[in-house]
Amino acid sequence: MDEKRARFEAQVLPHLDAAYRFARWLSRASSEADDIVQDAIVRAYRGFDTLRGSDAKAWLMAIVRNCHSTALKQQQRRAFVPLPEEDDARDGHAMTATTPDPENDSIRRDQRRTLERLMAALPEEHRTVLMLRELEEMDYRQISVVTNVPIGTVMSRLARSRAALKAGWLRETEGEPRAVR
Amino acid sequence: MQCAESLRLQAYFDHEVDAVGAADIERHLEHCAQCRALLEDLEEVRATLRRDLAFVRAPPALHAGIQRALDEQSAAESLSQEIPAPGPGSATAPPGAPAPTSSTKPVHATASPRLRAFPRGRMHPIWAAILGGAGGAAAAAALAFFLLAPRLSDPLLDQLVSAHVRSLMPDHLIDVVSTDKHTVKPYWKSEFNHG
Repeated sequence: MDEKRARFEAQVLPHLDAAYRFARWLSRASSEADDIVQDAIVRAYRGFDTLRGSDAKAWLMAIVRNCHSTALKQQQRRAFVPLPEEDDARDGHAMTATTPDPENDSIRRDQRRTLERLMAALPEEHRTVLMLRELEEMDYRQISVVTNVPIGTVMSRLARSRAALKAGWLRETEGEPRAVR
Repeated sequence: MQCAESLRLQAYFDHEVDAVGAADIERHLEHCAQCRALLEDLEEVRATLRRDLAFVRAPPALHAGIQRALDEQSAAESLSQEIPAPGPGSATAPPGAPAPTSSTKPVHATASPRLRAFPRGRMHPIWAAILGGAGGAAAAAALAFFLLAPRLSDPLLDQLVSAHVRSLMPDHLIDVVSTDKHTVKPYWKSEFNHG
C-alpha cells in the first residue's frame, strides 16, 4: 500500500498545481476548485491501477474535468445557486508577486484582472482548450483526450479562443494612458 | 477575411507539424502578411497568458487536505486487504481481527476538521472520504465477523446472506414482489416506458 502511495505521489501529485489551475478555470471559483481537486485526487488514487504507463497529467486532468461536471450536475439537480465569491483574501495571497517593485506590481495586477475577466468571458470549452495549451503546455492529442473532442475541434476552438482573447485584449487596453507594451 | 492557412499556421506555432510541413508554412509566411500578423498575435497571447496567469499554485490548505484524504484512502484500502487474511476457525484470528480496526480509529479521530471555516450545503470530500473509510471498515468488520464466527450461522442467516449477495449481483433477474397484476402492471409501467 505504501508503495502504491509513493508511486502515486511521484507520478500524479507533481501535476497538482496544473489540476488546481484547471479546476479554478472550470469552476470560476477557487473555493469550489479545492473540493473538485481533492475529489479528483482521491478518485485518481482509487483508480491509480488503471494508469498503465500512459500520460499521468492528461489522465489527472480528465478526472478533474469529470469531477467538475459531476459537481455541476449535482448543483443543478439541487438548484444550488453559488454565492458570490468572497475569497479575495486568499486570492490576494495567492497573487502576491515576488518582485519588489510595487508600481509594476499594481500594473501587472490590473493586467491580470483584465485577462482573467477576458478569459472568464470565453465559452467554457474555448477557455478550457486555451488554458490546457498555453498554461499547461499540453499537445493537441492530450487536450483532445482531456476534453473528449476530436483534434480538429481542439484546433478550431483554440483558434477562436485565441482570436477572441486577442480582440478583447486590444479593446481593453486601447486608449489606456499607460502603454502596456 | 482569414487566410486559409491559419489553422496550419496555428499548428506550426504549437509545434504540431513535421519538418516538411514546417518548411511549407515558413515559405507561406514569407509572402503572406496576414499570417505573419497572426503569428505575432499568437505569440503575444501566449506570452501574456503565461506571464499573468501561470502563477496560480495549489494553496497549502489543499495540499494538507489531499494528504489527509490520501491517508484515509490508503488506510481504508490496507484495511480491506488485511481483514480477510486470517482463515476461519483459526485460533489466533479473534485477537488479530480487532487490531486493524482499532489502528484506523486514531486516523478517523485526528482527521482535522475542514478546509474552510464556513459551512456549506453539500458534503465535503474529506467527510465523504471519512465516511467511505468508516463504511469500508464496517464492511470489513462484517466480513470478518461472518468468517470468524461460523457457529452463529443458522439457515435463516444463510438465506438472508445469500439473498443479499444475489441482490448485489449486477445482472440478476428482477424480483417482482407480487404476482398480483395490480402490483405487477404498474411496476412494469414504471420500469419500461412503452406505449
